[in-house]
Parts: sequence; C-alpha cells; structure tokens
Amino acid sequence: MRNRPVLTAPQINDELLWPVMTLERRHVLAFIPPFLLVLAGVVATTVLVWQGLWVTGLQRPAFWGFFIVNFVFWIGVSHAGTMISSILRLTQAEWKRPITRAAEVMTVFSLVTALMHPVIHAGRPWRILYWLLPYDFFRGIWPDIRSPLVWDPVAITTYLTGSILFVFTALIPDFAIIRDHATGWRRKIYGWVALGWRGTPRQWQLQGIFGILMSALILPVFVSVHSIVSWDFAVSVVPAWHVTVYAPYFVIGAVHSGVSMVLTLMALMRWIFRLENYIWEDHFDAVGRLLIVIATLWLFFFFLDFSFSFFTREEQELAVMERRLFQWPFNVITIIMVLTSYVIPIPLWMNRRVRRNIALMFWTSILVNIGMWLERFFLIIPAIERKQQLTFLWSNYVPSLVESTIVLASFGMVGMLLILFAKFFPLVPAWEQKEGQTFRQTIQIGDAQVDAVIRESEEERAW
Amino acid sequence: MASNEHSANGNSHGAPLPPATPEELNEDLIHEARRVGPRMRTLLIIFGSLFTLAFVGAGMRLASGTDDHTVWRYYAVCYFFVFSLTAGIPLAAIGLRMARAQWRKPTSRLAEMFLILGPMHVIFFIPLLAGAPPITGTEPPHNTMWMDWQLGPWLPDIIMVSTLAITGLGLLYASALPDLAAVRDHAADGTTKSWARRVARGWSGTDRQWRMHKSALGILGAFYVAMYAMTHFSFSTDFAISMVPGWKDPIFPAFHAVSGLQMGLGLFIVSMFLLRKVHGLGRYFELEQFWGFSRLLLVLTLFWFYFWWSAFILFWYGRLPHEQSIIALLIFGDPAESALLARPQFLMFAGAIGLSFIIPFLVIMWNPVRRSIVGPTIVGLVIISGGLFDRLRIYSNTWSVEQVGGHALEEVPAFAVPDIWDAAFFVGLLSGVPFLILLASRVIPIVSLWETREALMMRVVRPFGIGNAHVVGKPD
Amino acid sequence: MARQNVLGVYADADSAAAGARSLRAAGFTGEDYEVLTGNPYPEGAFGDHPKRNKLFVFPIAGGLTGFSLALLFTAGTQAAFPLVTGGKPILAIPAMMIIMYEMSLLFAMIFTVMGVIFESRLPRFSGAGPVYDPRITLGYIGLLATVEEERIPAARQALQDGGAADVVGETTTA
Repeated sequence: MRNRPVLTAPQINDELLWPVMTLERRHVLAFIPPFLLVLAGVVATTVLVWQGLWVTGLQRPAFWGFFIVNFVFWIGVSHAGTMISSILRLTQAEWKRPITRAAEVMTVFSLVTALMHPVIHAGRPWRILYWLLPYDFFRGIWPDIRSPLVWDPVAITTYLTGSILFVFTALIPDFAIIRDHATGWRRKIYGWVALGWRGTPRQWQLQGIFGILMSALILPVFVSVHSIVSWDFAVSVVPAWHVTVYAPYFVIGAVHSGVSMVLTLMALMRWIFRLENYIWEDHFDAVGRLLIVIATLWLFFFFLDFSFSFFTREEQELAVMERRLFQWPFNVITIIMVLTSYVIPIPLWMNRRVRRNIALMFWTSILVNIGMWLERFFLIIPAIERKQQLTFLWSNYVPSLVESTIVLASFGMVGMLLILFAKFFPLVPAWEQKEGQTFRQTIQIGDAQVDAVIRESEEERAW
Repeated sequence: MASNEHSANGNSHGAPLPPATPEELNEDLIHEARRVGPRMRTLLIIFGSLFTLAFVGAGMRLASGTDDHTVWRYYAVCYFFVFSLTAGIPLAAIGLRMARAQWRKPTSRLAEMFLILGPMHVIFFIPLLAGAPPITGTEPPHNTMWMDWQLGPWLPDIIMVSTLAITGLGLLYASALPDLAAVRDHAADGTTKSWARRVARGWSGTDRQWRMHKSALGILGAFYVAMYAMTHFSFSTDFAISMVPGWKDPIFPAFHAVSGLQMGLGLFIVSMFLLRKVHGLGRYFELEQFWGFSRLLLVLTLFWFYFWWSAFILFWYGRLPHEQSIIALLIFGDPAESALLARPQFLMFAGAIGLSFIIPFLVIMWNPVRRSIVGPTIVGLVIISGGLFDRLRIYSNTWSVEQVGGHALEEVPAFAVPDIWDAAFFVGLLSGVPFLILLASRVIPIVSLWETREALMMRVVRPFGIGNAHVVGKPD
Repeated sequence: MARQNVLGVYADADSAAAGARSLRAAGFTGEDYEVLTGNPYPEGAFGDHPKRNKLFVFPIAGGLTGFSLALLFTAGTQAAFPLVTGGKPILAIPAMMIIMYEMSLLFAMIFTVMGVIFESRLPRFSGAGPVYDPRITLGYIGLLATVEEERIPAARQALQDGGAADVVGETTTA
C-alpha cells in the first residue's frame, strides 16, 4: 500500500483550487476538443430541426434509433454519481473523498445531455411540452399519467434536481475557502454563494447529516430513474422488450457503465489537474474491485434476460434473438459487447497489479463503456426492427450522419461541461480532503503500522 | 500518545465488556460457549426428536405416490421455505468480509454455522425431485430452460444443490480451522483434544498458512455466492415458473434469491438475539452489529418490493391474457370467484407483502428502531413470517396447477389444505435447523476466536482535542 | 445584557484544545463558546456540543407535500378529462404510484436542502459575519467566545493563555 501523503490545509487549498484561481494552458487545451465536438453537434441539430426527421435513419417500424440508444446510455452513466457518492457515504468508505464530487457532477451533466436526446428526437422540440406539463388549462387536455413517457420526465427531473442540490450543498464549504482567499469579483461572487458559511460545529454536523440523509433519499430515485427508462420499453408488448427483468438489468448496466466512466474521469482528472496527491493507485484499486462485483451482477442479469428469451420458444422473440446473434451487424456487435464489457476487463481487473496501473484502468474503463453503449444498441434496435408479426413490415435501421454526429457531440458536451465546471468549482472537495487528514490515524501492531481512521459514534460501543 | 491508548471496551448497554486477553477469549468461546449444560441437553433432545418428523413426513409423502404432483405442494412449500430461509445467511459473513467491514467480525461464524445445513438441503431435495412433474418432452409442450433434455432438471438441480452444500461445508471448515486449532490447544478434556487434533490438521498459524487461509475464504466465498444465485435460479425456474403455463418472468429468480436473503437476515438477527439472551454471548452481539445488519435488512426489504413490482407493473400494464392469469394465480386470485378478501390467493399475497415489505419497511425505516436490539429482532420475526406467506403463495399455488404444459393458465386452481404429513414435515424440517446448528456449535466455536481477536486489535481509543476518539484500523 | 464576541485563532488542534481547556479553567462552559474550523473535527473535540437540530422534520414535510401535489396532479387531471387509454382505469393506481413516489422524493430532497440551510443559520449574503478570520479555511481553528460585556477581558485573557496565535473581537449582539 502506498504511503498516504501528509497534506497541510494551505497545500490542499493550493493544489485543488488552482484551476479556479488561475487559467493555465492545459485547461484551455483540454477544453478545445470537446468544444469542437459540441459545435459539430449544434450544426447537426440545426440541420435536423430545419429539415425534419427525414435526415435521420428512422423508418417504420424502427422509430427509435441512435437518439434513444444514446439517451439510455447517458442516463446510465448518470448513475455513477449516486452510486459512488451515496453508497460510499452510507458505508463510510474513506476512499470516497476525492471521487464523490466529480461523480456527482458527472451525474448532473450526463442527465442534462441525456435529456436533450428525446427533445431532439421529437423533431419539433417545442411541441414536447404538451405531453409533459399540466399547463393546458384552456383546452382541458392533460398529460396521460398512465404513459411511461410521462413517468420518465418526472423521474429525470427529480433526479436532476436532487443531484444539483446534492452538489451545491456540498460545495458551500469550498465556496467559503474561495471567498476567504480570493480577491475582486471572485471574492464577491463566491462570498455570495457561500451563504455566510463559518464552519461552526452545527454547520459541519448538518453537512454530515445532509450527506447521509440526501444519500438515503436519492438512492431510491437513482434506482427508479433507470427502472422507469427501462419501462419505456418493457411495458409495451414488443417481443424481447416486454421482459420483467428489464428494470434491475438496466439499473445494474447503468451502474457498470457509470462507475467505469468515473474511472475514466479519475484518470483524466489526475492527468489534467495534477491530482497525484489525491487520486492514488489505491482509489483505482478500490473502484476496480467494486467494478468486478458490479460487472458480475450485470452478467447475472444479462444471463437472466438472455436465457428467458429462449424459455417460451416464441417465434417473434426467437426472430429478435436470431437478429441479435447471427445477423450482420448485430452478430459482431454482440461479440464486441460481451468482450469489452466483461470478458476482457474483468479478468484483467482480478489482478491487483492491473488495478493499480492507471493507464490500463483508463483504457479498460473506456472498453467497458464501448461495450455498454453497444449493449443499449443490442437491446433496443433489433427488437423494434422485428416489432411486427408480419415479416414484410420488418426493417433494418441504418443511422445517418446527422444522428452519428449528435451522438459524438454528446460525449463532447459532457466533457466540455466538466472542464467548464472545473474552472469555477473544485472537482475534488477540499474540505473533505482536510477532514480525511484530520481523521487519519495509524495503529501500531508489532512493527507494522496499520492505517486507521477516527470513527464518530454517538454512543460508546464495545466493538 | 501510545501510552494513553486502551481497547475500546466502553459499553452503555449493560452487556459485559468483550474479553481483552486471549485467555479470556478462550475461556469464553472454547469452554463456556461449547459447554453442554442441562438446558442445552434438553434443547438438543427436543429439536432432535422433532427433526425425525421431517423424515417421517418425507417418507409418508413418498408413500402417497409420485404420480400426482399436486399432492406434493406443501412439501415444496416447506422445502423451499427452509432452503430460502437458511441458505442465504452465510452471505452475511461472505459479503461483509469482501467489503472489509470490521464490525461484522464477531458475527461471521454464526452466519457460517448455517452452512452445516447443506446436507439437509440435499437429502430432502431428493424426494421432491421424485414428486415433481416432468417438464421436458411433455405434451402440450412445456416452458423449460432444459429444452428437450430428458435429464433436466433432475440432474443439473441435484448437482447444483450438492455443489452448494459441499462448497458451504468447505467454507465452514476453512473458516473454523484456526479455531479448531485453538480448541486442540486449550480444550480441557482429552477426547476433545484428540478429535480437535485430527481436524485441525496441524494448523500452527504461520504467515503462509494465514495467507492461504485468506485466499481460501475469498475463493470459497465467491464460489458459494455464485452457486447460491444459480441454485435459486434453477429452483425458482424449474419448480415455480415452469409449473405454470404462460408464466415468463426472468426477474423471478432474482426475487427468489433476494427474498431468501431478506428472510435469512431476519433469522440471523433473531439468532443473534437468542444467543445474547439464552447463551449469554451478549458481549459479542452488541448494538453495533444489530444496527449494521438492520440497515442491510432495510435495503433487502426495499429490494423485495422493487423486484416484485418490476414484474407486477409489466403484467399489469401489458394486459396480455396469460399475464392476467399469473396475476390472478399469485396475487389477486380469480376475479370471477368471490370477493377479494375471500380469495385465498389474495390473502396469502397480502400476508407476504404486508409482513415482508409494508410493516418491516414502516418500522425499520426509523433510525432509533434500527439502533436498538429489540427493534431489528421483532422486524426479523415479522419478515420470517412474511417469507413463509411468500413461499406459501408461490409454491402452493404453482404446484396446484394440474396441467403444467400449454400456452396459458386456463383457471386458477382451488386452494388445498395441508395434511398431517405436510405438517409433520414442516415442523421436522424447521426443527432440524436449530438442532444441527446447536450440535455443530459443540464442535466449532459459535463466535470466531481469530476474527474476534483481529477485531479487538483494530480498535483503540485515543485522546483527541480535549476528549477521546475511537480509532478503527483499516488494513489494506 | 449586551453580549460580545471574541475570537481566538489557533494554529492547530492541540493548541485549540489548550485554548478550550483554558476557557473552561476560567469558568466558561461549552455554552459560552463555539469552534470555527475549516473542516469537520470529531464531535466534541474541543468541548462544545452543537444543540440538537430538527432537520428530520424537513424531509417528512417535503415528502408529504410532494405526495399531496402528485395526488392532485395524477387524480385531478385524469378525473377532469376522463379519457380511457390502454384499457386502464381512469384512476390507475400503479401508474399514479410511480408519479407520487417521484414527487414525494423530489420535495423531500428540496425541503431537506432548505432545512440544512435554515438549521445552519444561513444564508447570510454579506460574508462570514462580523467576527471571523480567513485563516480558518487555511487550517487554523477559531474559538469564538460569546459572553457578557464584562466577561470579555477574562475570555480574551483565557484565549491568550491557551496559546492563541491571534485574538480578535468586536461588539455584536444584544
């Protein structure tokens, strides 16, 4: 195990707040590629809105294509924030400290990006409000609350609001640090958003309770969001979609891709923002171990879905499975999906040396997300292509350039927003790092020094 | 600062302090906890006698014939209830060991003791296989995982449950090995020393042995978890879903496993309570353990509902005829029959959801309840009874379906009352659980010596500021 | 009687503990001072104990509010325009439950954040308050004594005796 660095409070302030206080070339350079992708996406979206949906590859009966696949993917990625920060908060895992905020922020930006997709997919985005909001008092027609297409925005709005509040409230003590040490406009603005934070025991106590309470509240939302997204498909009676396991299967797949994306992000943060003192090999090791469990659970649900596809031997369902397993391009997609989301990364992650190799973890985490994106494609497209009973109504979906550009731009958008966020807010919570330094201890056993922490307890305990 | 350190032995619940020295631990766990006093002898005689009823019940069931599987419905209920109740408890040790939770250490052995029931699971599964209907090669065709393989599910399922049992026994032995060596070294009588010497296999606690021991626990634990999931998958698919025409429900195996874990954790908490009260082991099963496990119980309770709802919302929304009949069979009963509250299927479902989810959730969601010893224990008891209702609704209903092949269930079968041999089997099988565990606890210390010592090493109290702080070791 | 604040700033936890002991030795109790820190410390590390808060009331109130609004939205809108879709009842309870669940949690979260801010005695947009030292977010620890005017010199002396790096004071509350 690596020796944990001893860091002073001023050092933590300097090392974590430099992107906020100054503008360095590496920050600008990191911003440019995602920004260019976003520009391309803006152009593609303009073309789509101007020309209409004919510029996409959507055709009867496959009216759900890349946009919906990418929507599901980004909703999935957004699950990382809650997964990492809430579960690790509730279990008091020490290694959560440098990861939580980046993961929570990724949740917010992934959700915003995901939300754009159904809006673009509608072709006439402004009309989407009719089915979402109960505002049409004059006509007396209301959203159909029996439709999962209404449950979806309600759940995502809840999750987005909760995630933003989670990030904001945990940022307040860090705003106070910037307020105390910045000058000029920064001092004024951060002074305002710090809300007068002083760091009294009551305020810290409430921050602690807030972390736990909010985690407990947001976890059920996190589970429900992707479940509801899965019901967009599953409550319909489309063969291979109408599957009871879809909700937990989508959730665990989301966690798999989301936590892998956190790994990618951790490596990038370490490289771009020089966070070697905060994000260590130990953190990659711990996330890697967690991912082995998550990926194996995902495999179990994949197995449930897969095996029950053959259980009833229904013709339509078998046609979908035939498309998935034996027909181009899905046969290749299926192989790549299984290889990249489980077969390659998990055996590698079983090895402790691999888990502590940051470059390898970075590339394998990207592999997982390639696999998980393809998994969404694997689940959604063949089923809708074979939705009809009559074979002459089947179709093969081919995505257009406009769709592909918007999908690529979505990755740029999340990247760009994260880089922008890092310019104005610390990506690693400075106060939590200081707390970690305060609470760290060692226990001497023989000649060995065992890492230890101070545990707060409301009662004296025997153990 | 080191001179001010002391073991974190403070305690505000009136339970005696945990022993601080190896001698005290040995006295407590090798001599006291393994002693067969008059009360222990009486318990062993009562449970042992009742356990024989399980053999009688199984024998009489076999004697009643294997042609009509509906006669076996309550045998299936009892078997799957007891299997679900007990097979998941060791996961409380395996999972938390993987998560490196310190607080679970004094409780892990108790969870692992339930592994001793593995052979019982295998023995009473065999008659069930005889009573089950064929699900391959039937006419009309049957939904089954095994396609037309004639040995399915008999061969794969018996292999699965046997592998689970063998892995479990291996895990229990591996975990107990250092403690068996302690029994060998410190037992008072020669007979005990003699058998302990044989089973301890020369364990001397070298560095290499401890490393191998750690790896063995990790590998066997992971294998047990995998086998647990696969056994639930096979059991629930072959002996519930396949028994009903038109029932396709891939979430059900996961529901079956999670609900088994939930009721198992309920029984585990009740067992901790009993060991506190009856066995005087309160110093090892403290508030922190009840608090920790009750949080897991809350999570599993939520999962119970989530997995159930995931299937229900699809069947309710899809409105397909064969799914409506599944809702009628397992939840609401036949709408054409009678008033809702007069339908046995609905009453069984209401018992299951009420006692497995609604009441436990409403009670255990409050932290003061979780942070108590009586609260989680009562909730544990409620959940066990909810689990019984749940297995009753699943297996009595599915095994009552006479025509197991076909596209859809034609009508909801009538409710049937268990007979005397069903009751004997139930009482006997249930009594086998405490009987076998009490018997095993005469050999293996019911609280792990080596893990308890490790836990004590990793806790100290140190001065901090103007007071003291609890420091917990986090190795690796 | 007018109360005044005086703040002792300490370089580390040990000297802050000495400051706290010194205050106690001078007859001040945990009620007379509070600690200002740049990060959380173990509760009671410097002898002060925050009063109980009522944060738990906020998520409960929020949850009930969200549930009621969701009930109004789901039942009210469907009853106002009773259109059967998908063969489901007008008041389709499983579908309504999903929206009620989400909105209950949404409002519970919003109210929780409001509760944290309110119970933390925030917001105050003008800054950290009258007696404060920016070094606190550099790892220094502040002991802020709030006592009657005539006890201010004693408090100041106690803070100084405890080894404060600096002692600052200002008249504040009445």
